[in-house]
Order: sequence, then C-alpha cells, then structure tokens
Amino acid sequence: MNEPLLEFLRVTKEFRETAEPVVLFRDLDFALQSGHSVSLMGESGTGKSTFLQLAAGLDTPSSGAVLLGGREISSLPEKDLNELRAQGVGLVFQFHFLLKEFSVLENVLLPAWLAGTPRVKATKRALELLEQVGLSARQGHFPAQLSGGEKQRAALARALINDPPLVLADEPTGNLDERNAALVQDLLLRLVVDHHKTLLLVTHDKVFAGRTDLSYRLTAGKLERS
Amino acid sequence: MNAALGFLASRYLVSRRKHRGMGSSVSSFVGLSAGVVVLNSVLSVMNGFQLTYIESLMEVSSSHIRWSTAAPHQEALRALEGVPGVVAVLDETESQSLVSTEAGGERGAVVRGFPPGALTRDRGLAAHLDWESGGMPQMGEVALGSALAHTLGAYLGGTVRLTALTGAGFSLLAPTTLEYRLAGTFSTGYYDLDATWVILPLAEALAGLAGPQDRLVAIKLKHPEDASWMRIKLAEATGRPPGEFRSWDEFNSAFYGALRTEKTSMMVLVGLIFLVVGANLYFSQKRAVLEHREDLALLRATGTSASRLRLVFTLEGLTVGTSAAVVGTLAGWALSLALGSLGLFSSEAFYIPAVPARMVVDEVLAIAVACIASATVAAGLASAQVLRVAPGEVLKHA
Amino acid sequence: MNPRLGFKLGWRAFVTRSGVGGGRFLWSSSLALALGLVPLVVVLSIADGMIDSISSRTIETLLSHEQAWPVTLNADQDLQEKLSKVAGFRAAYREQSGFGLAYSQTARLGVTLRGVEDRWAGDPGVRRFLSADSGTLVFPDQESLWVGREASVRLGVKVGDQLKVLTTRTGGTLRIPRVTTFTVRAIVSVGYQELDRLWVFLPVETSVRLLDPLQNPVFFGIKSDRPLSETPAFLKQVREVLGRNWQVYSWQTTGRSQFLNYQATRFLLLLVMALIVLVAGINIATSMVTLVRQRREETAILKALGASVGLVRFQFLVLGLCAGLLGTLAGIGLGVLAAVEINALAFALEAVLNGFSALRAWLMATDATFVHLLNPAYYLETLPVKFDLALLALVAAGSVTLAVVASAVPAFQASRQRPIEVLRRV
Repeated sequence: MNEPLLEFLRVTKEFRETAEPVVLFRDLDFALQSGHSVSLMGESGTGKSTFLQLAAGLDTPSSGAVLLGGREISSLPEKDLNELRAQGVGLVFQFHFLLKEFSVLENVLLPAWLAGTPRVKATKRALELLEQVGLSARQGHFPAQLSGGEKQRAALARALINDPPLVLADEPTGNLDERNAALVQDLLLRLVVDHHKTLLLVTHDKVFAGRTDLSYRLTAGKLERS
Repeated sequence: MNAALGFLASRYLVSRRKHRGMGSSVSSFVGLSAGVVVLNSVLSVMNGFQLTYIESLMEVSSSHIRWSTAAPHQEALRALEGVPGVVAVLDETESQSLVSTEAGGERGAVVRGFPPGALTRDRGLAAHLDWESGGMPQMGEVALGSALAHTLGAYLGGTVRLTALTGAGFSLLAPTTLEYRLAGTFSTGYYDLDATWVILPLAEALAGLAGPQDRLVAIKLKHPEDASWMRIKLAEATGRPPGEFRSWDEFNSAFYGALRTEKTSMMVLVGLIFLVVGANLYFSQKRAVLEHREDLALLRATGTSASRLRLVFTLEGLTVGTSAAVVGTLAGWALSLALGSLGLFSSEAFYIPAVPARMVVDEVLAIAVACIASATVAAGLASAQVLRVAPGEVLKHA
Repeated sequence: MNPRLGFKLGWRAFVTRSGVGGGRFLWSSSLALALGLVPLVVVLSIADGMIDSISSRTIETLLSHEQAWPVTLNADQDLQEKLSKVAGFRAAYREQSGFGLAYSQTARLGVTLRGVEDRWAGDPGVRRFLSADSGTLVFPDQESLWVGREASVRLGVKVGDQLKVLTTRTGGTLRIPRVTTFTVRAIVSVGYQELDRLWVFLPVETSVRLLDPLQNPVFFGIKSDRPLSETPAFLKQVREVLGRNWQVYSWQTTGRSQFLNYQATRFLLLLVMALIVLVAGINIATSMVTLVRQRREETAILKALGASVGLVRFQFLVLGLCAGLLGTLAGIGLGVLAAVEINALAFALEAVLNGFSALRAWLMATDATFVHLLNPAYYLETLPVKFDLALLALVAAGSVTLAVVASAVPAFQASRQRPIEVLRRV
C-alpha cells in the first residue's frame, strides 16, 4: 500500500489579522499519491495559494498536520525545512522571482548550490534543463534581458534542477499572455508528468486543469472533486 | 483649488512616507545630532582651555589696552578714567630681573609693579589672581607666581632677591640687587605667567629696579572686544598718537592667531560630519523619490505641481535638520557640563587640573545653522529627482 | 552553510545596478565611510609628523640622546675616552644651562644661557636642525654669543653688536652679580620657535665662570649613532661604563612630560576623528536596514529555495564587508593623498577661510579677522607628514570591522524574515 507523498490531516487554517478570524478551511483532509498530477481550482481568496504554501512548508497550519513523504513538516524546525525544500520540493510561482544579479544559468543552478550538489554534475543538469525549456542560447543573459515568458521558463528549469519528487506550481501562467502560457503549460506537463514526478497545480485555467490526472475545487473551505 | 489640491497631495505623500518607513531619515537624524553633539563638546572644551589662557593674559598681563609712556601724568590718567567705557586705569611698571631665593634657585622673571588698591580698582585682575598663600605684597614685599615659587624653593616670609642692571645708558649699566620678603604666591591658571611673574608695589619698583622705560598704563574696558576702536578715543583724550595705545589682541597676536587656527582647524575637521551626513541624506532622499515614483506620478497626473512635491521632500530634510540641531545642542550642552565636572586629564600631561568647558553662543548657533542647512540643502537638491518622474512613463508600467 | 556561496551572493548584490534592491546604493555609505576616514588619516599623519619633527629637534639640539650628570663635583671628566668603548658612541659634549638677563642698547630680555663646546654645533644631529641665519657657528673668543632668532629680534641685535649679560653666583650667603659684555657672532634657529625662543649660546668655558656650579652643574650631552629605538640598550651600556659617579638619563626621561603632553593631545585628536568615522558607521547600519527591506523578495525566494538562516545572514554581512572595504580603501587612499599634499591644501584652505572672513566683514561692516594657518611663530614652517603603517593598518581593520558590525543587526533581521509574508503578497 503506497504511502501518499503529500498528506493533509485535519488541517485548519485561519487568519487572526482582523478582529474576526477568517477561517480558510477547517479539518481538511487531502492525500496526493506519488506520480500523480492534481490541479486545484477555486474562486479568488478561497485559500488555494495558502494550501500550496502549507504543502511547501512555507506556512504552518493553525491545527492539524501536513506530511511530506511521511514526515510531519508542520512542526519541523526551520533548518530542516530548508533542507527538505532544497531536495524534495520544486516551487514555481506566478511571479518568476529570478535574482536579477545572476545570469539565467546561475539562477537555474541556485537550488543546486544551496543543496551542495557537486558543480560539474549540477551544471550538466542545468544545461540539459535549459535545453529542454528552449533557453540554451540565453544562458548567459540576465533576467532583465528576458521576456516574461522566458523568465517563467527559467523559473521552471530552476524548480527542477534538484530533481525533486514533488513540484508545487501556483498559477505558473497567470502573468503570461496566451502564447507563452501555452508554452509553459506544455513544458510543465512534459517535464513533470512525463518524468513521473508528482505535481500539485493551482490554476484558474480550466483547460490547463483538465490536463492533470485529478482536479479539485476549493469552495467555502471544502475540497470537492471536479 | 490648486492650493487645496496641493495641500492634500502633501498630506498624502507625507503619510505614504511614514508608511514606507523613515529608516533613512532616522539615520540622518542620528548622524546629524551626533555631529552637533561632538562639535559642541569639542569646541566647548577648546574654548574652556583657550579662554582660560586668553582671559588670564588679558586680565593680568596685557590688559585690554596698554599705553606705553615714560611719564604718565595725573591729568592724563584722570582724562582716561573719564572716557566712557573705561573701567580701570592703572599706572604700572614691567621690567625683567633675575630672581633667586635662599634655597639657591634662580630664574629670569618678569617684574610687575602695581599701584596701591590695584585689586579693588581692577576687578578683572583680582578675579584672575588666585592666592595660593598670603596676599598682595606691601612695601618691602613681593609675591611670586606659584610655579616660580615652587621652582625656587621659596616659602612665605622667606627672602627673595631681585637682581638687574640699572644705569643711565648701555655703557653705564651696573648690577643692583634688592631683597624682599615673600608675601604671597598666586596662580593665574596660565603656566607661562605662573612660572615667570613677580609682583610688587609700584613705588617699590620705581625705587628699585624699574626705570622710566619700564612704565606703562594698563587700561581695562567694560567691553574688551571694543579695544581696537577704544584706542582712538583714549588717544584723543590724552592728546597722544594712537600708536602708543596697543589693544590686547594686537599685543599677543601670534598667540591668539595660533589659538584661532587650532579652533578653526578643529571646526573644519569635525564639520566634515555634516558633509558626510548631508551626503547620506542626499542619496537617501533620492532613493525615497524613486521608491515613491508611483505615488508621485499619480499626484503629478492629477495636477499637483512638481515644486509642491519637491517641497515635501525638502521639508523633510528641514525637519530632520532642525530636530537634530535641537537635540544635539541640548545633548552637547549636557555633555560639556558633565566634562566640566570631571578631572579627566592627568596633571602630568596638562597644567590645568580640571577640564573647563564653555559654550559660546555664536558658535552654538553657527553649528545649529550648519546642521539645518546641510540637511535642508541636501534634501532640496535630492528633491530635484522629482522632476525626473514622468507620470506617463511610470503609470504605464505600474 | 556554504561560505563561498554566501560571498558570491553578497558580492553580486553589492555590485548590481541601482534601482530598488540594488546593492550599489551602499556605495554612498562607503563614500560616507571614506569621507570620515580622510580627516582621521590626515590628522594622524600630520600629528605624527609634527611630533616626530619637534621631538627630533628637541632631542638633537636640547636633550641629547643621553645626559650624564656628575654625582660629585670632582667626577672624572674624560668621558669621551671612556665611552669610546661603547658600540655606537659618537661624542660627549660638555654643556651647562642657566639663566641670565641680556641687555642691548634698546631692550632687555631674560634668556636661557646655554654653555656649549664649539664642536657641538658640528655634531651631525645638531647640524640637521641648528642653522645660522647670519654669522658663523664658531666662538672666536670667550666673549662670543650665538643668539636665537626671536631673542635677537626682541633685543634688536645683529651680528657684531654687543650684549651685556647679567648673571649671579652664590658667594657664601650672598648672591654675587656679574656683568659680562659679549659680541654677537651668529643669529641661530632650529626651525621651531617654541623651542629656541630664548636661547643664547656661549662657550662652556665662559659659562663655567659665570654660572653657579651647584645650581647649574656641568653635564655631558651624549650622542650615539644607534637608532633611537635602541636607546635602552645603549643607556645600559653607558651606565655600566661610567659607574656610580655619574647619573645617566635618556631623552625618554628628560623629555618625558613634554612627550606625554604630545601623546595625550594626539590621542584626544584621534578620539574626535574616530567619532566622525563612527557616525559614518551608523550611516552604514541604517543603509543596510533599508537594503534588507528592499531585498525582501530576494531573501524570501532564497529561503523558499532552501537557503539556511545562516546563509542569508552571511550574505548581508558580506554586503557590509564589501561596503566597508570599499569605503576603507578609498578613505585611506584619499587620506594619504590629502596628507601628502597638505601644505598645498592648507594654503588653499587658508585662502578660502580668509575669503569668507573678508566677505563677512564686508557684509557686516566690521573688521575682518584673518587666519594664518601655518604661522611659523607657533608651528613648524611646513607641516611634516609621517605615516605609521602599522597604525594605518589598524585603522583600516577597525573601519572594516565597524562596517561589518553595523551590518550585524540588519543581517540578523533579514535572516529571521519569513518568506511567506513576502510571497503571500504577490
């Protein structure tokens, strides 16, 4: 019996910033099996991004537990969480978050440097990934010289450099025009799904969502299959 | 309508500035007030030292105006006393002799003859002669500077010998030695005086070692700073050429010049702080404009003039500068008071046992003005950055 | 934590173009640090130069390297021969000091009488500093004088004029005065008026007759060829050779209070200059705080990608280090340059200050007060400069450390940032 790669056990998340606490979801259960791709849809403000951030260990639940690879990450100290993210999770955000003082190649290599991967091996892999996302010719350029679509492709390559088993993508094409969005979507699915990685995707795009194995909808704090 | 809009715009911008964080302004404030404190403290200590020397010299040695005349007549002296602004006129002598005591020590000394009642007639003199033992000498007595007495091994009531050459001309010079009783030792706070001065009554000096060429009239004024033009008045009153009257600053010009140089150099060096902090303020205000370019573009697009917006940033500089000047001045004042009560300096290295600290109003104001000016000018210059915000450009990419 | 990566991250951040989050804005803080260091370096090197110059003048022409004072009146006088055994010994000169009153045709002045040997003026150390404005440094007869420049001005005498000098000696319980008529053979100066203001030199054979042997004993001024740093060793050897009949003191003892005064003044000056540097340090600290805030996104993504807290902290410390290094190198470089050119600068400064004075006087209809920055009456005529490399290195180290320390708190704050707070906003 396969252990789920990602699991939410009775997770509650509420925000106490205002006088009335805002409850995003309460006692939510979720399981994601290895090798599957899942998309998460829902109205703005329902907590999709928060869901993803909990999965990445960037945020902690108000109650309940988040397990990654069987380990409870919600109570891990930051040091271990950092390591976990470096090795185990690839993140793609709506905004590329590339470091402007590093070249494309260096940006892609960054997670490998952080993980301590030997240089030669990491560089080889980075070049391969850049090839796959069609940015080989741009490896020496800096983010300021790239278009929006190119930057997002670089961010995608960066997310995959450490060969993480789990990829979390939060509206990866939200900022892109139609043509680039289609390009990035294809790449994402090809690189992640085709390589038998696990993908949790948050998106507004129904068509995009349709291309994953499973699709959920987060409404009023509840997850529904769609 | 424009004024109201402008006013609202400034309020909006100011609140946005506060929201974004005033880190750079805080740093400028700290830097500027630190500069003001340091400058004020350093100058007050320098003033303390220098003014002690200057005042000792001025009140005891050179007096405010010195009239060199071989035969001061009574009418002339009365005429001088009648000039408004003159506080004291003293008929004195100043000559040189060798001083020795029974203990055997010998030194060259400046011998000053003072008229009777000198200490009551000249309050300034009395204030700067601190009697360590005994008091003003009477006929047959002398008083020595404390350092001189110490070097010679002199004691109260002991014998002091003065030796000099007297005679009608260079070829007729012959030695004369006179003995006196030591009546007191005094300290002026200025080592050069305390180590070389002998005081005795005028009549005693004239009867002994001082000749007509050693006579002088010491004049004290209500306002010593008026000495340079008071000279003319005094010359008129006595019908003598003004060249015979010398003011205190002219008399000791090299020394005062050196002190002034030291103070000026110190002010320039420490004043560099304002340059440093001003530069920092300039760069941070430029950055601030950059950070707020969206807000500024919006305001410009809705009709607020660039100069009104520039004013907001400039006023920020003015505020920082003014508050730093106020805080810095108060703190500097407190610090110099504290320094004044500490015996920081070992007397092995310095003659003065305690640190005198005195703040001069002119200087304090000048420092405050420099502080405010550097901050305001820096902010004003940086605010020109506002003019480089093209509303269309910024809003397109917002 | 990978230090190499930390350096890379910090360095890249430091050199990026300006704009929000760009490290280049720290360059203005580096400038502030440099500006703060310039006066410190200038003051330090000038103070050292002046102290060195005045000290060496004083040592060579007044204190001598060592002084040997006889314990008894009849102590052996052939020091020259005895000390020739000591390595580095150059010469021993008989000297005597006392006071007298000098009278010219027009004035009189209390003077310091210095009885010296003729050959003393030829000593290499003395010759470096003592020069004759007019006349020659010889004593053609026993009634010859070399008069200090300032004294000659006050007495109104020139070479060839006569001076009557009054001295006294103890005779029993009396004090016996004596007048001697001298001829001025030279007007001399050592280049520092504070020192030679009241000096009058006469042959020691004459001073011995005029001055009291008990009050003003004859002593020997000893010169050696060894560097001043070897003084304690040399002193020890001299003492051993001369034995118990002589008290020997080095210049360090005889000039002690004066040198202490200089050191204290120098220390105070440095303290004040250091305060300026400290203010620049505060500048760096707050610039770093701003920079940390501006780089929140970069920090967040680094953490999200797996950077440890230590790495983030290290990166910002490296930033501070870079700012410190740039400012320190520039500041010390500029400071050295300014110190070397200080005489030209002083001249320019004097012109500017006097210009201001004149303007102010004109505006306020008062008299202008002018400054003459390098008045030879009180200072050496040109400002000498001396660089103490060890001290400069220390200043550099201190300045860089200041920059790093100033960055510590902001770096710490940055490392404690939670990425979620930044990422959530987007």
